[in-house]
Amino acid sequence: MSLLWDEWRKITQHGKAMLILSVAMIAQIVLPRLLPDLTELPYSDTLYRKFTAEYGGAYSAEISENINTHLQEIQTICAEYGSVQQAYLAGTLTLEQFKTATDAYGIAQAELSTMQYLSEKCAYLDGAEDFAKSIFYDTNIKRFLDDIGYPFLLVLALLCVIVPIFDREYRYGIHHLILATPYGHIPIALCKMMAAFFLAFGASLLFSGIQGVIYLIQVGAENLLQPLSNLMDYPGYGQTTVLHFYLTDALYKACCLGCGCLAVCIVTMLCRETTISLFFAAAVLMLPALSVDLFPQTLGRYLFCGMGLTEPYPANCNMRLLFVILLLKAAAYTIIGIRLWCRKR
Amino acid sequence: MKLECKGISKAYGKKQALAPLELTFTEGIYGLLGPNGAGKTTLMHLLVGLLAPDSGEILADGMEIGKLGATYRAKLGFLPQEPGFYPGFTGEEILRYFAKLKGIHQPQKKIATLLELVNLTDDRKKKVGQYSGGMKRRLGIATALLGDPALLILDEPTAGLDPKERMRFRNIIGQIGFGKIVILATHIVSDVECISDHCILLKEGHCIGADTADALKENIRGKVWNTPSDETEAERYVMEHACANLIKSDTTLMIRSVSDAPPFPHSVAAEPNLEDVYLYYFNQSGRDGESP
Repeated sequence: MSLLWDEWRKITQHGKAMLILSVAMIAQIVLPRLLPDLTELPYSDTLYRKFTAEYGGAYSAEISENINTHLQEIQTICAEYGSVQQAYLAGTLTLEQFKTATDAYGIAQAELSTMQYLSEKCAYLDGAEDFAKSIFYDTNIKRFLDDIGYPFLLVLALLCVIVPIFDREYRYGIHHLILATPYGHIPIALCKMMAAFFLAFGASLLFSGIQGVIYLIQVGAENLLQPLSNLMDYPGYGQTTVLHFYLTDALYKACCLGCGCLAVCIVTMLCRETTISLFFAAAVLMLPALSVDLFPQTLGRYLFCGMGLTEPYPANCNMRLLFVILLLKAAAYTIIGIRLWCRKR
Repeated sequence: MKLECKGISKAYGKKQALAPLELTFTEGIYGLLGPNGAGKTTLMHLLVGLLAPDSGEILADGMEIGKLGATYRAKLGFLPQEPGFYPGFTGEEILRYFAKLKGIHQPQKKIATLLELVNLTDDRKKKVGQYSGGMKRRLGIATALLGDPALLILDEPTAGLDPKERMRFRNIIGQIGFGKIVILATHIVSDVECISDHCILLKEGHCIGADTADALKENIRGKVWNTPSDETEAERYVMEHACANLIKSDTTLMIRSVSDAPPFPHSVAAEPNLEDVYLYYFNQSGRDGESP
């Protein structure tokens, strides 16, 4: 434990590691917000908020009927507007009547896409598996979850902090001194790898935590305990609540990143040179995440893309299998790392 | 403790760094002498267990050191050629860290003694990044001495130390060397001459002599010559013979040379010292490192 604490002190005392990580986290959170939001919603968000308040609550046949009735009314107004125009041109409608019909048509046109979306949602909920179905305003939740991507800046900062854990010893030539001590072989290698894992794990969890807190401050905790499957883009999650999903995803990503950083330690010990180590470590940590689409729904996804997916974990992801694989990978990386550290040339 | 090298050899690719060596170390101070590239560091790394020999084995009290593992390393103090330390740690923290790695419980007293021994007490709270080269080396020596090791392996321990620090280091080794095996590799002959009981001469990976300093000196008795000379003659002689030292005094110039036959008719046989041994065996000036 004491050796682990010393490793932690080495990381924090050297190279302003904490500053690098903090700056990366802030940049990772702030920079995407500076970019213009190009995502187009298929409905009006203002009206969606209004209608979800109007029709919101536990989903029932009555709600579905109300929504579909409203949609039908809108569709009827839109469909009949042509004939209304014709009637006004033919002089069978007064200006007052035409104005009223035109106003109704304008409103119907504006509401159409939103009501169609709500109707689609009803159809989705009708056909979905059994869970506590509900209609509520979910645009903010969707946007928040859509923004969860691969934290490239954080990963790059982690590389700058993790690579020196072993590289520093080779660079300073202190590894000879360490290796000549009784605890300088397995215990120290184990402590270094544990420090790498926990640093990446902790940084990833902290980052997810900060993102979550920012969301709570901006939006509040409303609807976080609703089942995620109520969101049309997230089918198949059963009773898993939005909060539970986010926490699991954060844990999953932290484990993947921690495991990836163990691989980075191996790369550093193989390269024994800072620049080359950084290059290959970046490849090891990022390539699997970038090539995630090469392994759709296969064992390869679990094996090679576990180092961090570019999107939240999929509904059909077998968490037990994934964590067992991560555990096995972490154990294998640790054993390889220890052997590399202790190897005699 | 007894350390035996039984036919150990090491090659880096096609380059034979160390030819099969047979050496036995018992309690005493051993000076490993040889020019750069002689295989001193390779031998040290083999003895520490950082390198695996291509052939042969190293036995500590009859047991192969690889099999002894941590038990062997617990008896070992090692100072590598260029030890680096974490710039963010203070000298005291470095010693505390290595005390942990050596499994020393409650090392405060020992650390204080060692800091005093290497004259770093006043600088113990200073970050290592602010240390001079000599201070870092002294810290390295203190690190090697942690845990009172029975086997002390020091690779170029006095490189970068000023004469006063070197003298201090020699005294330290003289004090603590009793009952231990101390192996120090250097190409500074005077260090070995002052403190070593035994000398091992390494040349191009081969052991070309291993004996006490007196015995090695005795081997070249009658081969060391002092020749009073003038500048022109000395210059010509030095150009023709690599193996020569010039000793200047206020009025005279003396050529000190090592050869089987006297170089000049008026040459006078001189009392050999270890530097002459070095010159004789390595056929080069002994002043390629620092002056003794």
